[in-house]
Amino acid sequence: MGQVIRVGIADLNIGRSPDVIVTLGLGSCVGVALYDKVAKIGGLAHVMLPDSKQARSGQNPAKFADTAIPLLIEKMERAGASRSRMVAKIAGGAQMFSFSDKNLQLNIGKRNVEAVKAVLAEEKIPLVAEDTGGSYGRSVELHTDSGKFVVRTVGHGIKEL
Amino acid sequence: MPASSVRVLGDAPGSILFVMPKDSALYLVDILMGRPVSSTQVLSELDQSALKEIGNILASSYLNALSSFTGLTFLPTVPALAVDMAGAILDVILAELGQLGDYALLIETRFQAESAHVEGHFFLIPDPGSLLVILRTLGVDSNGASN
Repeated sequence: MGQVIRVGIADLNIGRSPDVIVTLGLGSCVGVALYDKVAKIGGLAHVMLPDSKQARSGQNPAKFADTAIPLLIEKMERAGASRSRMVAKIAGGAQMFSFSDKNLQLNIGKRNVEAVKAVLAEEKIPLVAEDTGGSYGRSVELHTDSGKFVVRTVGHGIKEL
Repeated sequence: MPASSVRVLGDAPGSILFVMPKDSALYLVDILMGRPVSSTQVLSELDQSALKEIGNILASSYLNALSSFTGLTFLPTVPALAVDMAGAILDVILAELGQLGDYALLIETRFQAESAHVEGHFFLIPDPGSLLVILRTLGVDSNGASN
């Protein structure tokens, strides 16, 4: 049995087969899982905000899509993964509160998902699966033996990506 | 964990979130609906509406107090409700806070109802710039308030 590696909010980590990397309680945040199926190395980031350049305090690179994803790639490469073999699966980016007046939505979730996709495209990492949007929270786990990405919810079932 | 959210407009825009443990929410709904305590297990649409109303009353009275204290105008909107995993709701709070830095006005709320008490957490999350407006009216120097 591998270890269960926990990733906190605005945090990231990597693991190798048969570790399972887990992050709990994705609301408007996005869980970004990268996987190299040959090296069987995976990485997971719990991205909180889209852009470090728009923030006033940008010390934690794992907090933002534009800084977390490159850092995650770098960590995986250092562990022996190859960027050219990496694929991405993402989940989260929900709108937890739906107001009757749509002008009041802050849409952090949607902006996070868009930013994550843009960064993945920039880094030339194919996005192979996603479970994003909606109005409910998600917990995710990346199984580094198979690349399976499990998304759990309260009242909206379990999905395997 | 149920949570209600109110957008605040006016002189210092922001959000208010009221988060409460499920037990407290169910207890509160039972009292409000005149049902025997611990009879509710699942929140119906009407129950959820009642919780929104609680969020509304709390937000309004809090904003009234803050308004008379600061002289600023705050306009609460109709609340929205989410019932979901605690982590996902905290995630939203942290993401909103994380946009502007590391400060929050944090108030723990306790309702006293004869014997039992009901707990909840009440968050005022100012939009970027609003915290400064509020603190300035309170005479706090902007050097101490901003990051």
